[in-house]
Amino acid sequence: MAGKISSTDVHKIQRHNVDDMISDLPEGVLLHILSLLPTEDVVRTSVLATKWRHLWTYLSVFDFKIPYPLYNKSKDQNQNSVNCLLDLVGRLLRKSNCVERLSIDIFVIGVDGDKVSSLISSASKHKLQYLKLSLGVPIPNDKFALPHCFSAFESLNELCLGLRFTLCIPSDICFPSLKKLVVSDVEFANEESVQQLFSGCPVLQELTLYNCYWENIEQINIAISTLRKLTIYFDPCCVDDEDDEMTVMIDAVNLLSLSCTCHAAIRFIPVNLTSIVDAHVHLEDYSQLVPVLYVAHCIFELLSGLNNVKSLDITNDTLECLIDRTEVDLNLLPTFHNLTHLCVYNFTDESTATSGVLPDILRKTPKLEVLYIPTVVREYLVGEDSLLNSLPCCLKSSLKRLCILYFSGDEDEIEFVRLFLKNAPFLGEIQLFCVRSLLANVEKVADIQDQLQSVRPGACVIKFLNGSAQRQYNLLAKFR
Amino acid sequence: MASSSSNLISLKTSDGTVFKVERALAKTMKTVQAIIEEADANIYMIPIHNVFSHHMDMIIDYYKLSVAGKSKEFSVEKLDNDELKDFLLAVHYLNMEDLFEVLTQAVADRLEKKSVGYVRKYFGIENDFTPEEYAAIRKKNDWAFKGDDIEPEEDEEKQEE
Repeated sequence: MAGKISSTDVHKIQRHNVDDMISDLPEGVLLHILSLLPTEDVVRTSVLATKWRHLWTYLSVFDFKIPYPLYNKSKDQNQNSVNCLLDLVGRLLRKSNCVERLSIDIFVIGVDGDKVSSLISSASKHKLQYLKLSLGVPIPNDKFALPHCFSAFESLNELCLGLRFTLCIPSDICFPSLKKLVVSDVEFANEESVQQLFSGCPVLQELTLYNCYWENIEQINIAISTLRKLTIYFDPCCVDDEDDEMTVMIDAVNLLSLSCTCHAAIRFIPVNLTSIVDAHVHLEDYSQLVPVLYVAHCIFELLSGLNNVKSLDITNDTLECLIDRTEVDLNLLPTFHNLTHLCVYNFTDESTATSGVLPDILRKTPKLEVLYIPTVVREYLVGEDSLLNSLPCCLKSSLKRLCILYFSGDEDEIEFVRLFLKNAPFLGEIQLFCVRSLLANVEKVADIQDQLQSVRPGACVIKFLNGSAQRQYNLLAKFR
Repeated sequence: MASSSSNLISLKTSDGTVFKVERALAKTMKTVQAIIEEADANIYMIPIHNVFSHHMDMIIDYYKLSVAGKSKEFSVEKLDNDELKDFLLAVHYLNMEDLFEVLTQAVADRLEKKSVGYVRKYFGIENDFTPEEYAAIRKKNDWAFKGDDIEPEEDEEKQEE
């Protein structure tokens, strides 16, 4: 034993006498480490040794998914994989009693409705707080009745149902603690089902209806007094003609935030939305089959119900539904007394010009402080709305920030910004999101900066920013 | 000017080194804190078993970084798997919450997406299943193995370092 031994060496020498290092780490520590790993890794530990066989089942958070089929396997093999997973989850739920968060997310493939019912039944014995079920088409038949035991989920705070089934909701369904509900890809059997689901959530705060199917349904009533946030997303392009007459009533006195993305012919009836703070509206008349006047009426009715809002995101496509002045009386637009932030943006092609309806909107936003628009508004430079004739009063009294999301630096655009600078004394910041070719032309940018600054030297900060779609998306997300 | 000795706590590691640490640092060690509180008079020296001087060095590093608001800069990358496990045991013994979270996360990061063989090696686990038992469990939990047909030996071979 010549020479010095460092403390690490001593430690290693001692280590050699211990055969199984597992005894070094107590079970609690092992479970803690497992809780930091993805569920797939965790289940794999079951084959390490007999001592590990059931250790993973003591965890409380599980995320099982088969996001897509394996393309090198046959349909039957994929079906087997799915059944195998459902059986695995069933065994877990029967063995354990401490599952708190469970997510099962399987791509669209047939699942056995009985297996699903049995899973839900086993899950109801745990004190689940979060449950996500995103499952495919049921076999043998389309309909799936939510089992009554669903009412036993007393501690459930958050539920995500992505069941591509025709859903029958029992009349006594009740989720006493449910605060957040996401329903996607579901087809409701009838109007009663929808009502029963909503009235079974006495403390619901957030509701999302995503791509649901309403074939036999003409009216949905969302009357939830505790609701704070409502998101409705019906793919605007995937709408039957039969859906054109659908009505959605929203009666939610505590609603703070509303987001509606759907076909413009769906009629929203807002009732008593006195608490509303922000709204996001994208209504697209994709099919052009419904009379313009009806669409306009729907939009006016929705906007009127939102007239207390402080912040509004509205797409250019929505405004374009109102563009036909021979049919549409834009005086029917409500006045937004509290609106300080308005963002108009393009849902798809970012370069589409700002709707000519914008000047009419601006006349109804007396307190506007921040304005985002896709491109400059040509109507302000020529024609009846030319700024020589009429100027929205919010420019003179409150506008502080202007952002143009697609700026290429041509003469009209520069003139537009100059007009704003001249007529908006409180304007302190302008953000111009530029196309790449403009940003690359450093001299041109400097020249435009000079031209603009000469209007009111030093009074306004003018920024030339990268207009890439991703940046815009991030920006808009922050804005919301 | 002699500093007040009541602000420093003496900790003696397993390999006999004495560390004088600030009371605030000793407070993050719940085990040590319990010993101090249970003692009648001012305790002179607290022995900390299972903790070696190289562990204390790292603990002091972490403490200094977190006091400066830079705890994210603390890294255990240079430790090999055995050293990391030992350090985790030491920190677990001392019952230091924040550092424990950091170290368990570091271990989890090293195990993530690794094969069964790798995990066995990491913890030094012996496979005490019969081949039949192994095959049965493997089949039932097939989802976690991405449906590949893997024999036990193949698991061992797939050691991604």
